[in-house]
Amino acid sequence: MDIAAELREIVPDGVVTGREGLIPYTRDASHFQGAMPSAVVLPSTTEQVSNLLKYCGQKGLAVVARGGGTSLTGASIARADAVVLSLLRMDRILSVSGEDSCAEVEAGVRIDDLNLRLSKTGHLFPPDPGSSLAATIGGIINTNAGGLRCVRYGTTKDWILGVEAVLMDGTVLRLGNRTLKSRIGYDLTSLIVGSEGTLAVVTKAFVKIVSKPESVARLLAYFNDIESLGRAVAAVRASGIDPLIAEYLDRMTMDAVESTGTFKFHIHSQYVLLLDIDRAEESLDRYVSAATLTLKGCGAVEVVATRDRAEMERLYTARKGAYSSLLRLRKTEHDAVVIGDIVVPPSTLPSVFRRVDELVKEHTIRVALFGHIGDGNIHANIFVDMSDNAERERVEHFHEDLARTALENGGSVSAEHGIGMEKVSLLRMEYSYRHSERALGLMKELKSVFDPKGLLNPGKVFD
Amino acid sequence: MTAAAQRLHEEAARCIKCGFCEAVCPTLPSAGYQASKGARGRVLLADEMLERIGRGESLSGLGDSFYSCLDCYACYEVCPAGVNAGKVSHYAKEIIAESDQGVPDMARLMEKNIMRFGSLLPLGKRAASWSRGLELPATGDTLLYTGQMYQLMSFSSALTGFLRRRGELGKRLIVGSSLKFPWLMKLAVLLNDRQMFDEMNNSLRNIAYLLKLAGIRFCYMGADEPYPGTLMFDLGFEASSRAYATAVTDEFRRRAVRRIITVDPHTHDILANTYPSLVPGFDFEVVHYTELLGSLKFSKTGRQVTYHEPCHLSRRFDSLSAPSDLLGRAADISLPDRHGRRTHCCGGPDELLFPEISSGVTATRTAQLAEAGNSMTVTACPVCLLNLRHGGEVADMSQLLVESAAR
Ligand SMILES: Cc1cc2nc3c(=O)[nH]c(=O)nc-3n(C[C@H](O)[C@H](O)[C@H](O)COP(=O)(O)OP(=O)(O)OC[C@H]3O[C@@H](n4cnc5c(N)ncnc54)[C@H](O)[C@@H]3O)c2cc1C
Ligand code: SF4
Ligand code: SF4
Repeated sequence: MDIAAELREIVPDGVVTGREGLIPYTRDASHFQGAMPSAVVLPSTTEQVSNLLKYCGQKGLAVVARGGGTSLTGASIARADAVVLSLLRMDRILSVSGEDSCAEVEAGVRIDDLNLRLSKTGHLFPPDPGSSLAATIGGIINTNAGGLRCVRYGTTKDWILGVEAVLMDGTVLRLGNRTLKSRIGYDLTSLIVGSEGTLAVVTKAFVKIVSKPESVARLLAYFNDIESLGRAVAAVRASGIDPLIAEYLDRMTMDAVESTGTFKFHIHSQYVLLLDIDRAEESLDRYVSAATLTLKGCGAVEVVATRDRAEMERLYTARKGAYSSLLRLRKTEHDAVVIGDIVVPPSTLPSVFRRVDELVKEHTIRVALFGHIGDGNIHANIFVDMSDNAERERVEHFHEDLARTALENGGSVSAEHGIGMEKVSLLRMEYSYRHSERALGLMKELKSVFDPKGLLNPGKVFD
Repeated sequence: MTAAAQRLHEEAARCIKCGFCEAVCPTLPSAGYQASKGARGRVLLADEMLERIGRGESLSGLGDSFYSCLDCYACYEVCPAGVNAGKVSHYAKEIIAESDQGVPDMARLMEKNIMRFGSLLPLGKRAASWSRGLELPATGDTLLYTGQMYQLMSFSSALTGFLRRRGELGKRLIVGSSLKFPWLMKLAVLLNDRQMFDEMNNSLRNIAYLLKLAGIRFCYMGADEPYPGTLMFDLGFEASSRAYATAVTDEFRRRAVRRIITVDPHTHDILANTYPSLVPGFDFEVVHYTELLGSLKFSKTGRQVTYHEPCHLSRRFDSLSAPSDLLGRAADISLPDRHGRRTHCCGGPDELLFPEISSGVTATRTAQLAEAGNSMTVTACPVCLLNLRHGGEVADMSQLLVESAAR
């Protein structure tokens, strides 16, 4: 029997072969072209996943787990011949308990679908990557995704109580559970979070949920110089205002957003800082006034606060769609937008911004900056003509210099999009900068304990 | 590169493969999440098609992905790069039809029927039976144009049911024979769901009644009224669609028509948005019947209903708020989670070629509508009406409007 026939014994109605069926699995949202998989399997149950992995393990077939396929780093496409395991059929929300602050969801559930369901009982699953419409629970766990609300709520790792995960030999592990605490030896759940499908396949998760904030106001503070904006962020944080969201956009990004018609900014400035403040209804206005004073004191040329739900929604959508809006500024179809995803301690933002500005000029590249500034995450969106080798090289150098700037300021080369294929060398750079190359060695050893034959998502995270 | 290939290239090249469209594309889950039957898969296969054209290779094996597209444009609403995978599928179907490589027999049959009978099925006088006794003139400035859509539903549903029961092989045989012997189609119209036929006819009578109540004078083409050719256009038969639309337009002109009142979303869409590009100088005023009823007095019927917005109204027309405005005056309406521009297809467009996908989409939509909590759903499209019936009580908007206007 050939491989496809044997896979069909395990998932009778869920094996895709044939060039036309497989082509869509050669791409994710990154600019990489993946290899053609030998087959795609679409299991519906943990048992099927277990049997599939066991079979692939015995046959020595590489396996790439895939959720929404929205990875920006080429994490969800195959580097060489592999079986792609799509988790999308595992799309059930199994239970929601406000009492336990917990939801039990299968790996293929999309984040917006989960939040739609939770909104019916006034709850929220906080991680909100810009791709939440399509990204899945399994995907955000494996990339440890961030998003706008990270400044308050942290990243995905802070919201995962436990996972059901299947090892390459077919063993099903149930790690963690519905309780908010559990100290049961090494924290294997946390090890799987962010492992980019290289350790195990996640089939289910217990995620923590919260009540939606009571009253929220959204502030827009306009600045004409980036250092003032950096100071304002530090001052807001120091003043105990503790924003729910703290995002910034540069002029090019604002232009891009305006060009989509989603939002028209109140004045023409070089930068805008977007802050969400939530408090009990009685004290919200007081906090908004205090924040406005702080922002103006740091050099904001204008501060506009709104509590109008429709306007707030438009602003949120505009910010969430910032990367997408920028795509409209591509000059030709060969243009790609490559994303630098660094993070630095917020207190260093003024000097980091100054340096980034210098780098953009030095390398003569076109770049739009925005990011989750509240937690020091800057996305440098670099336009690159993929058919122009000289430009590609300049962009690569900019990328490296940007990463070095983050490291020199106590930050990191990769904040939330993960490593995938794209940032393998930057990861090496970071550990070597910290004289901790051994950490990479340890990771590889751990990987070989989980997956001795190296079959799970080969070629990702490490060379 | 042909014009269709150029259009396909322009639409598909902007895609950044983010996968957002996949998350809202109704056919993806209904096809068991095979990516080639989802929006992003269609765009990626369009790239493959263009590469094959460039290399002079066969296009075989690509068709199913594009023919299974519902043409619902849900994908376009969420695409950050402004790509419409529905249009991508459309251009790809044009290329397949143009090159005659892998056109499904059923599609060919529909094209043949439309070109031969002026409709999907030769309904003859049955198409006009709803207007009996209304004494509508055959010519005039303002035309009530049903496009035979309501009338066709009971026949097409009986036919698809019949074919479904014959299995894949039987269906292929029947469709193949009908292609060779077109007169077989005259037998096909003997299959009819009588109850549905009466219901659909009632909707048309309701619409005519409302228009008259609003003081609108209109003519009707009776049994000579042609189907607008929508399905033929949707299946990518560009050249035939052009010729056919020109003939339909000539008929409008012959009857001195200036304004066309449409009653269903598909006809409204093709006349307002597509005919102008198919027929040079197509300058008729096209209005949906609900746009003419604003002056009527509607009072609440006390009914609590869920409104299913048809894709071809809510996504193809930015400013067409009349249907929901009127319904809001006639009843207490709730909307399902997916509504407005994010509405969800009823599954109808896939019924002929991909019945399983169609049933899956219908099941998803009926579940969404049920969640809105009312026992009755209202819609303004005969295709939606037909499909959503599988999930509970569904009424045509015109029924509620008549009830409400009569109070
Ligand atoms: C427009 C856009 C905006 C974005 N914004 C953000 C943002 O704000 N913040 C952010 O952090 N990211 C962002 N991303 C990146 C990306 O969406 C996230 O990383 C997301 O978490 C990926 O989820 P997914 O389901 O699409 O996973 P995939 O892309 O399918 O997979 C990602 C990785 O997880 C693995 N994986 C997926 N499912 C499983 C599973 N069940 N078991 C084991 N491994 C699995 C894959 O093998 C791969 O390594 C954005 C992407 C786009 C296109
Ligand atoms: S949403 Fe648009 S850009 Fe994203 S994959 Fe679909 S067509 Fe491409
Ligand atoms: S038009 Fe509808 S069915 Fe077709 S690709 Fe777009 S969302 Fe999917």
